[in-house]
Amino acid sequence: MKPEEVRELLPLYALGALNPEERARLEAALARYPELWAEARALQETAADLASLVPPAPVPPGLEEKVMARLRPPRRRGLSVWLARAAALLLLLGLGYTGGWSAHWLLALRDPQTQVVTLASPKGELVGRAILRRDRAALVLLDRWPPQGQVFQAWGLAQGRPLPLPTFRTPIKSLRLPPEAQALAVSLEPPGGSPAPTTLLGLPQSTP
Amino acid sequence: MSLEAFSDEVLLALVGRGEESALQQLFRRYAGAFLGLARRMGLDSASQEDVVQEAFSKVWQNARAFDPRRASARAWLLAIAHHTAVDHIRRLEARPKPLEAEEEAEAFDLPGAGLDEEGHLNRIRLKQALAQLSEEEREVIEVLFYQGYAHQEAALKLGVPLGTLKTRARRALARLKGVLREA
Repeated sequence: MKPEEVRELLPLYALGALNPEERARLEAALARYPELWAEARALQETAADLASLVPPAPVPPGLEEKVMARLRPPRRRGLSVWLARAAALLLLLGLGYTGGWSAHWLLALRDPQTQVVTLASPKGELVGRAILRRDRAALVLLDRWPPQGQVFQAWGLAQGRPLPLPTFRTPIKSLRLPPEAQALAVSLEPPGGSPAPTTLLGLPQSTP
Repeated sequence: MSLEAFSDEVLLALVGRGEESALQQLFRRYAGAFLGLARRMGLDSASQEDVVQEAFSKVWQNARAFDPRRASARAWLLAIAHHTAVDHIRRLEARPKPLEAEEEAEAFDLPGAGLDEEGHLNRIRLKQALAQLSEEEREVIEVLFYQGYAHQEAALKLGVPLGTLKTRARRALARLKGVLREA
């Protein structure tokens, strides 16, 4: 489908006037033409108003249970609290979802190759998570601020050998892993960082 | 951690990772709207529930495909509900009679159905916005969006060429956008 054909069908798509096959073809074509996304978005927002301004109906008892019972088994378990917290931090720090930094990380969470790694202290206490994208960009999310007079420092782990990465003072930090690093850790350091870790804070654990 | 404070976009990203609790939260936000839309399109109670169940199954299966650059989560979710209702109507042997605005008002204002101020204001807002359209534009919105006719059928029903229908649909949405954003 050419861009002008897609554009011509966008109002009918927004109003739900295509049949399922045409709809699927249009959606597939639209994905290839980012120059049409703003227009598609605006038309769909107006159609959403047509839907959402209709008064809601009371939800019958038991419908929620029926809906939840129909779901297939969850694809992953045990990540909810941390993913939610990661999402909350992105929300607080982000510039909005439609562009900007937080949208990229939200999109990265959809990629099955994105890893979410638990960071735990040497004593086994959970201290945070790291989201590792396939392009080696990483987002570290910790559950605390550094103690007075100290900073966090990230480390790439290459065959267990720590490679010094940037220091940071906030519980959230995006960075890039060097190609030789297979994993990421976090330590507490004096300001300016250190060539070797002083106090290990978070070591990667296998995902629960 | 409660998910109530999260935006729809964040919840959809979590649903895409297989988080049932995020889907449950979206159900609590949107089930009433999905049901209300299906009711406005003339579906009976059993069909309204079928639409809601099928729509949330699609949300669960397709959340990974949601792209916040291409649609807001609200528009994406409501489009899934609307497409589901439309497909349901087109599968029925006899088309249901959609509720007219007045009937809908009566249904909505029945004691016990939940008299809420916001719903009432929204209904007025929608009515006023539709009133700004020409008769022809309003008809296109009614037949395509609320009655769920596919474009070829709608062109026949309205007795206009397909090209005219497309033009009217585009113009009606553009006008509505202007009116609703002003209000």
